[in-house]
Amino acid sequence: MANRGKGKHLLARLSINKANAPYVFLSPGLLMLAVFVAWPVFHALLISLQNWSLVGMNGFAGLANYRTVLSDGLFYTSVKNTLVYCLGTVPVGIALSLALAILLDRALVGRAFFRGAYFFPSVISMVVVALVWQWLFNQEFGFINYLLTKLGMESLPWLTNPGLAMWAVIGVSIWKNVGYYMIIFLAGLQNIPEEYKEAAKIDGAGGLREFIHIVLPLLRPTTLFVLIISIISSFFVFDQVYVMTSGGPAFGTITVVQYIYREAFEMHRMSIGSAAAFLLFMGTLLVTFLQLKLFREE
Amino acid sequence: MRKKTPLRILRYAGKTFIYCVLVIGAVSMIFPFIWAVLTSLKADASLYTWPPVLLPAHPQFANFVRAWNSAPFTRFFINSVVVAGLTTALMLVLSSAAGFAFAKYSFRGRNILFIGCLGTMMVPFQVRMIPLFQMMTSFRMLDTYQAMILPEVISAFGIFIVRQFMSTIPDELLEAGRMDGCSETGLLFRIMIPLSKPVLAVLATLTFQWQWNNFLWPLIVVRNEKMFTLQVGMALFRGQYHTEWNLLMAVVVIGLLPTLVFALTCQRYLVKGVMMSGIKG
Repeated sequence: MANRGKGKHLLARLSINKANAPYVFLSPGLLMLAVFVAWPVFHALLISLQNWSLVGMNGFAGLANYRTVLSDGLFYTSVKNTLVYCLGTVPVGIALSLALAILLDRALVGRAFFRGAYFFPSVISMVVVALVWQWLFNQEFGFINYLLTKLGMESLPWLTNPGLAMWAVIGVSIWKNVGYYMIIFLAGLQNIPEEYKEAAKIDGAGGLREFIHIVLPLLRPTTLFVLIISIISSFFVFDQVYVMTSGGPAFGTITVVQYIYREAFEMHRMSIGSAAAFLLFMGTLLVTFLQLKLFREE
Repeated sequence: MRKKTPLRILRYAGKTFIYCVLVIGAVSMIFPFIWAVLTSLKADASLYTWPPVLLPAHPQFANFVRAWNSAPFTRFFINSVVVAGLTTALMLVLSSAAGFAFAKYSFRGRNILFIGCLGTMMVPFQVRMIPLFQMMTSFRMLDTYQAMILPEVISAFGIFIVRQFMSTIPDELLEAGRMDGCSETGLLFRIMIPLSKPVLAVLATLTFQWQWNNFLWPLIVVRNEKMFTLQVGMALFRGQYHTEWNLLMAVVVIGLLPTLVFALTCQRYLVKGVMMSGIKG
């Protein structure tokens, strides 16, 4: 590397060599990470400790913003809704995607079609999914209520009843994400040696028992991973709620991220929003840490 | 031998049951989109009837033109292409360079930088969105492509998967390149990037999909309708024409088409990408 244009031009002396190459290659990427990922976390903490509003910063606030958030009834509503969403989506989502992965791991006519069909909704934007389902859930002319009346049941005010709306949102989210987690489980199943799975492939109760005792324990790291990412993503749910119900009716579906969005970008209380965001961040870290501790130690 | 016949019947019954479950599931996955297409073809009058008209008697293909022209959707579409395309291109270059450095050089601070880099994966976007918004405000970049693109052009995940792949490329290739007088930049662009096509294809597909579907950040950082992405535009359209479901579904169907083509052509990479994120954990 030293013999190319040695010392002739200033440019050549400044050129990239084996010693400085890693720093040159790293700096653009790491600079972007530092400016747009690392720094904003600290800045979020700073904002949450100050008095920021639309007009700018006026003074240090200490923990006052956190106190405001923690004494706001709407914040607790949003936490409660987010937990309901988490408990509604995660267990059913994992069970369904695991079951699908097991069924579609074996040789089956039409396997590629089935995998594609289940995976497709997870590729689509949540906005599109939410709009389509909003129409399906329409109280007066929607297809879901049409089906219900066909089956001899009553039409339901899916998205206009505070109690029902969250279940509609939960149903849509499971529907959208089941294929995504199915693929992760399929990857996990592929890593399990064939001979273990052979035993579980025999249909009937015997096969099921083998499955529970042999395959499931081997799938444990995958299951833990899916559990953690699905819980985290449920804590940060926003798009489908924003589009389907805008957090309503009567804040029946407002989630924590929506609370943050509302405080920061609709009420222009950046500091309150940041404090709530930080509380959510801490909560997520704590829950993830607890899961890792609980499941890794056994 | 006696048990063979019942067992076989049981097995057939089991198979049939499994197929029934799978078919019902698959129909419920696909039907909402078919319903969207059927709705988009309905005349305004046949929209609000009970029981609903299942198959529109006179398909209104003009709905698509009407819907598309009722808001600057062409502009939204172009915005989405620009944002997702540029983000993906920058992500590929930045991740390749950083992944190469982490994979093939030993230098002071490598481990600490790498761990710090992975650490940023823990930070959810929702925690950063308020400071990022303020940053864009103070840079006077609200309502610009830069604002939508810059915070998304790098991710620790991208650096990580590229690094993992490049680590498997033999060092001898680099040494041979150096012997032939190839510069370090040449090694990156002529040897490492071409050999890393499999992982870069996955990263490109995932990034493009994420950015195409991204909603929250463009929603925050863009207020001027001209700069809306397709996702924001569609969500806004709902607000404006709440009751015109045939037009709304027409927009949704047009918005779905590129995703459908994308999913069919890139399914292999999309699936691989999801699997990679699974193995990582």
